[in-house]
Amino acid sequence: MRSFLDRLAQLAVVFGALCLTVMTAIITYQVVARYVFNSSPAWSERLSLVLLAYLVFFGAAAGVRLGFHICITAIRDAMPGPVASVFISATHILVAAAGLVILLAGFQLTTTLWEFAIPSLGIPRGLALLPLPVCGGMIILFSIANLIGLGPEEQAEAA
Amino acid sequence: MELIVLFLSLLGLLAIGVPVAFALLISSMIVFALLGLNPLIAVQRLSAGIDVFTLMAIPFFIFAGDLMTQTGIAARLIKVAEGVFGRIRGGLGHVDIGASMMFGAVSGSAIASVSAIGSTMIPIMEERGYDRAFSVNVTSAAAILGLIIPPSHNMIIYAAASGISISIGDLFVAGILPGLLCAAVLMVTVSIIAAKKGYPKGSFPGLGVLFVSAISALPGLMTAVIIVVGILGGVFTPTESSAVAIVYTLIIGVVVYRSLGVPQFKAAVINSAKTTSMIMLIIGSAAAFGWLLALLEAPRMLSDLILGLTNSPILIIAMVLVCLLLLGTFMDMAPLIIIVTPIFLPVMQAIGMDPVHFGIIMMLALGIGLITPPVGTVLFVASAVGKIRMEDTVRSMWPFYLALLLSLLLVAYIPQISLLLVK
Repeated sequence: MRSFLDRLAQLAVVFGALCLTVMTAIITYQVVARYVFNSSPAWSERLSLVLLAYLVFFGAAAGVRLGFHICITAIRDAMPGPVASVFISATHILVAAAGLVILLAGFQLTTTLWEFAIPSLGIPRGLALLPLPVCGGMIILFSIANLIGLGPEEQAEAA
Repeated sequence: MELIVLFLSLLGLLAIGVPVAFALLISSMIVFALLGLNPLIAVQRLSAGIDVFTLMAIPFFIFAGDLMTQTGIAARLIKVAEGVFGRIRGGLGHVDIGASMMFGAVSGSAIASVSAIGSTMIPIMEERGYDRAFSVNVTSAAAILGLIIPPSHNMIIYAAASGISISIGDLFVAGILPGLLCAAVLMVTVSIIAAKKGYPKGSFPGLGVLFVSAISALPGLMTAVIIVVGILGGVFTPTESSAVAIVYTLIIGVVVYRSLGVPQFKAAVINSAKTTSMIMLIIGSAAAFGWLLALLEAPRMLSDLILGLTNSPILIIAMVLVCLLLLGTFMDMAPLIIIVTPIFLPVMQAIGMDPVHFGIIMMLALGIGLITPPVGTVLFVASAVGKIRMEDTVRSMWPFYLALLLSLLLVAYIPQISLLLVK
């Protein structure tokens, strides 16, 4: 289970990295097209923004597993052991709750906007919002895993 | 009432260790529910807060900076700085500052700066008899320069958060003199400490060596020139310039420096994807939080409060500086820029301050927040790189806080320092 979750998080980051690479290529192409071919593509900025959403939300979900989100641990660290572990559990529950709202809202936004097309791309607007529910689902999964002691290895040792 | 709940829940969430992005989002959701609004709107604001073309420059700047770091540019910049500043008393302290300043121009990230410059400079300094705490102090204070020396992605966040049209090119140019000023003030501080502690002078490597190291660092430093000149000349938008900077760095790294291979590229792109998603999620959540603040009329209330207390620009600037410094001590830079810009900018405009000038003030004030406890990301990283406890770093840090505070006051009260180079 642990290695599955680790792999899922790493996969999400690699997917994000891929999006970043493609975004770079698209915007560079936009500059080249303007100066070399004298025409700016209409789709480039919009498509990069869609990719940015995938990069951010997939990466953000992975961050819950890989622990790279910035948080303030000074107060928690100063607390006696039992209090600190209550804080840690509360954090996982709250992050899971936020994940649930992201999942529900994202699902609603994606389905509502599915029938509308993004004009410059011709793809459903919902496709740009799809990362939201996926991210929400992954956040819930990773937070619950953290809560029930299936967190990443280092964390299990520390606890 | 709702405002109080918003801030108290945010503080409570941060205190128990909820990540900043989620704390902003959850406290917004709570108040959305309290106001009878659908909390799903918070998610909609989050998504809309990221869906901004100008902000796409942020992942690109981060990626360009990570790639540049992977080429090993830090070592080249340190060589140049050593040639220029090495022979002054406390030479390595000056080298650290000079190298951080140049690194700021190629990466724009204070955290990248402490880890890249610090990991090389701190061991060398210790070896030559400098206190380790002193080395960590200099490195973290100098890392702030990267936020002011152009290009700086935080300035893009500021421009996007301002809600008015502020030229990113102007902001970049406005950062040059304040950046040099801070570097000079920090160098004076290093000289004083070095004289007191009897830190050694280095030797001058000779003009030839300096020339060679400068030539070898030049292609890297050109990135900053391409970005700034490209934006100012109207050749690229800031987002395009940052994408071009990535391609340029790739070419330099592969063809000229020959230090960028597939493993380095992989490390850079993975690291950038992580940093980007972390920062952009914070920006999106801060956008939802800021949207609520605007809905609850917090900006108007605060500006009424401040302008009701006094109409002296000097005092108003002082009050805003204190607020920025205090907020900066316990919050990270990106969310603060998004949240406080719409609150303070109207006040500053009301007393006739140029928005570009205020942007520079904000970068410096919040930058100082990055090296102050309890939440000082740059301080954490610098202490970790120097393998020293944060408390020990902070104990000897005060001369550098004073130096940066002095620079902040000069920059805040003498608008020309920022605006002289702007058309």
